[in-house]
Amino acid sequence: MDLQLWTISRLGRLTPALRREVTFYAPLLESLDFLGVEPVIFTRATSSVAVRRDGLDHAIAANVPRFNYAGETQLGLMMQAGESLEYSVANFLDNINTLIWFEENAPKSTPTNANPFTSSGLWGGTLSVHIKHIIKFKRILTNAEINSVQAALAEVVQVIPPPPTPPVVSPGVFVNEVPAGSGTTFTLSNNPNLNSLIVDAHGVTLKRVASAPGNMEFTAGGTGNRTLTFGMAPSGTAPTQAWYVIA
Amino acid sequence: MPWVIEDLIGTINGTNRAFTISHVPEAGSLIVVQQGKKLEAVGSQPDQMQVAYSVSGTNLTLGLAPLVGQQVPWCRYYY
Repeated sequence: MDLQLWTISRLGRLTPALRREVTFYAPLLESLDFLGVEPVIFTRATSSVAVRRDGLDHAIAANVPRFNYAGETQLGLMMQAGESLEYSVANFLDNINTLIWFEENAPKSTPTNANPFTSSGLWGGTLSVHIKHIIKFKRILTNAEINSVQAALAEVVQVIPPPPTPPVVSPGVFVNEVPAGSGTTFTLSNNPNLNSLIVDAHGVTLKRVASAPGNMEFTAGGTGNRTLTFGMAPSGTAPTQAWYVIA
Repeated sequence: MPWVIEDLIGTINGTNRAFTISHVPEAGSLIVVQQGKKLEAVGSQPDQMQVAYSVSGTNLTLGLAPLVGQQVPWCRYYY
């Protein structure tokens, strides 16, 4: 028998009662490592290519099994024509007791699906598919038990969520008003975003300064509905106007 | 993405017309003011003495070179 911790861990998803019924388990996620009667023999006459976690093709030698990935998802062992996978007949994979396995992440089980193993322990099932989680029990499981095993062994497909949509930002809605007041002092009717505020008076666009406004300047004092103080009183003919976004 | 009011960044010597601003403004939000006048935006570099400006990214070209002693040209935009 050959066990690794992660193999035990995967079996740990089963109920203790079902776990005691397991006679054979081959995860086939990244190696031929399995629980059962040795040996396991994989053959392929030629070299091949496997897609690893990095998403790249990696050359592999003859007689080396291909464990492919789709992103972080372990697809399993790719079985194709010209390849053979053989377990010891002592595992009795072909008998009538329940055998469960996955093909391309789809769960299969006997007797609903034909047993893919021959009497000599060879994979005789579907080719050109990824197989994994081959598990054999020492009795015929009920449908409910089969479902629970399949649910326990099914891959949680790794889905990388898309980046969140950035919040919709808006420069805001502009207010255009004639400020109330006279002389050099005027008041806005709203609290403006000061960096959006444009003030026109006596025919020019005034520049906002912190203090002591000159002829083409103004200050925005106070808080809330700001008080505008111009450096020069607007003439009677040129309109005074303010454009701003409300803070 | 705030509103910004800032002076144009560049040399004021009566000949320089090339200035920069701190951020790339959102289209349509930029107002450039020179000597109290809002400048017209033009698509290509404005002719010398044209009361206009062009903007590409954070680079801004004025038609009129500001003179020493004049109010520093300024702008308001959203980015």
